[in-house]
Amino acid sequence: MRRVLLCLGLVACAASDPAAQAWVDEVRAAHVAADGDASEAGDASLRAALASAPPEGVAAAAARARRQDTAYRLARRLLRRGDAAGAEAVADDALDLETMDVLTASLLVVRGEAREALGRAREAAADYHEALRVNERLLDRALAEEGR
Amino acid sequence: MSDDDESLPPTADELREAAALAAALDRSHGAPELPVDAFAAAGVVRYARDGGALEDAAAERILDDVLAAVPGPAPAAERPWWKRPWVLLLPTGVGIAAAGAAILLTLRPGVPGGDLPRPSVALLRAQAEAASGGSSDALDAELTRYRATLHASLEERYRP
Repeated sequence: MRRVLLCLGLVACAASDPAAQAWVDEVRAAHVAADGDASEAGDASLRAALASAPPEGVAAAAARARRQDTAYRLARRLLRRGDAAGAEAVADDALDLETMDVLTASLLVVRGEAREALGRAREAAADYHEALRVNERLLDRALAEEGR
Repeated sequence: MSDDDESLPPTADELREAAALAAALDRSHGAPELPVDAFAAAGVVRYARDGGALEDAAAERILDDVLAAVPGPAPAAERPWWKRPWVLLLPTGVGIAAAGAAILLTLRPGVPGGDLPRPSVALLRAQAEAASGGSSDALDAELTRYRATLHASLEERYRP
């Protein structure tokens, strides 16, 4: 019984890692800073958030979600300012095609837009197609859950 | 030795025969040195006395001898370690610990074990529109909402 309580305690401690909490605060602060500045200076906080490695206590899926969401936002800002190549590079770097969720599909969309802007229609179409394939699966699941 | 020599002391052979005869009368079986005629004589004498029935004491002694000669039950073999009760309790304890950990993680809202918040139908429709050549404004707006949910989940997950 003592060992069971020890295991539960260790799980609880892992869930409240101060380093992980600091990392979460850092990510939020980066997005808040970007909210207030649409210029290249505002991109710096997002780039810094992308560059910082998550602490060990952070789950891999949480770290990936944070990285892909931040990358999407940075790529979108670059694309709006006309830096399609920069947008493509950021999206390309953050894409993880082994995991197909809503963030991966969004990155595919913004990379497709960047490639379209660069005149690479075929590659753009491939990104859109892949994004729609993931989106369809997620939408089917979401609609099924809504209908319950 | 003849009946006429009763005054003479018994010889060693006579003493041995007498002892064997006494044993045969007592236990109903002869010793190795008992002559065949002495054994027959002992049987006749004993049968004439009690019809061949064993005395209770003699029966008890024979029974004791038989029971002593029979090997006792084999001692119980020691159980191998994998059949001992604590081996069965071990996986049970591990299972309880795992279930407790799973419950703890499931009850914590946010990103338990790495699961992300579910995207809304509105977000997925905006995403489909952008991927189909439409505007990406709705996708950006929905992703901003999703980001807030994601950050709230992360904070809930990692806040002490």
